[in-house]
Amino acid sequence: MRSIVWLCLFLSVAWGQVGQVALSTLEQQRYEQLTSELRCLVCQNESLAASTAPLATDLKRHIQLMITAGQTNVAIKQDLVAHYGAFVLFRPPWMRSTYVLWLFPFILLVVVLCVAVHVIRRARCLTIQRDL
Amino acid sequence: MSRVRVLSWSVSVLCVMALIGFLFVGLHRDPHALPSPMIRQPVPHFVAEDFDAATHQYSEALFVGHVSLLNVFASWCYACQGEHSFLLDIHRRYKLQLIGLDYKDRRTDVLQWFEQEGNPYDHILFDPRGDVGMQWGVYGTPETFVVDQSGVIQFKLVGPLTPDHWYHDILPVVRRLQKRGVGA
Repeated sequence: MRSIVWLCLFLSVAWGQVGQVALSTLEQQRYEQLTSELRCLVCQNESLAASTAPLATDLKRHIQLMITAGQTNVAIKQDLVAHYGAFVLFRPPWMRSTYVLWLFPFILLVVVLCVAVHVIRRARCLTIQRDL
Repeated sequence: MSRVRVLSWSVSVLCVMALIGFLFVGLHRDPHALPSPMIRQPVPHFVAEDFDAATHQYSEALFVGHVSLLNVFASWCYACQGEHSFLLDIHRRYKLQLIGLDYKDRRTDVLQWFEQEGNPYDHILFDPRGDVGMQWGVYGTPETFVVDQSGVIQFKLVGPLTPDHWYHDILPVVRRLQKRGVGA
């Protein structure tokens, strides 16, 4: 009897999380992956998966519907970017406003290497001079 | 001082100044203000119920031929009540198509509100589930879009419409569009 109650509880919680759209196991996996890679626009540091904001709930439902309609992950992300901007993606895409973001670490690395080479060379010169 | 030393000093000072400048600019930016990808894009495809007649439906064709303001509002939204009297003012004083998008709301609440305060809109799109809002990339109320005569979104304001926003940001856009005319 107790196990039946637990099963009912579990099912109702699971049902509540998925909403009204039934997804297969594979679709559910895709849904979970997608919502963890997309940003909630109201509470900007949370993923859609973690957020309980009304807009996040709507967007999650929208994603479920697109998944059941046979849309690919790329198409779903493109749809959201078209309406809400690239900001919904947690991983910033390669675009004009993100060139600096993506390139800066490499530029910094090159600068630091140049400085390091310079310092080491000078130190060597100095020790050679001193030894002489 | 050797020339190399002068050079490395000036480079360091420049770097520090650039960093300070960068942080200073960042200090004055609103991290919640998001650029909309809808600007300069045609109005998204949508089908919305007419608030006044459930059998009638609106689509993007509503925007063709007029400079329009689309204001996303809800009776439960406190900031919308704040901008309401100013919207009534705009409706009286300017020749504009003022369209409301009633976002996730109940008809009875809106009717009660407008009975007391007046209705500033020429047409109201009724969106009880927020689907139309999603098409427009709405993420909260209030939001205001400026749409030109050919149905292209030219401006978006997130947050309440204040006289300051109206005179500095929106009215110049509206004037420019009205001067430009249809099909230009």
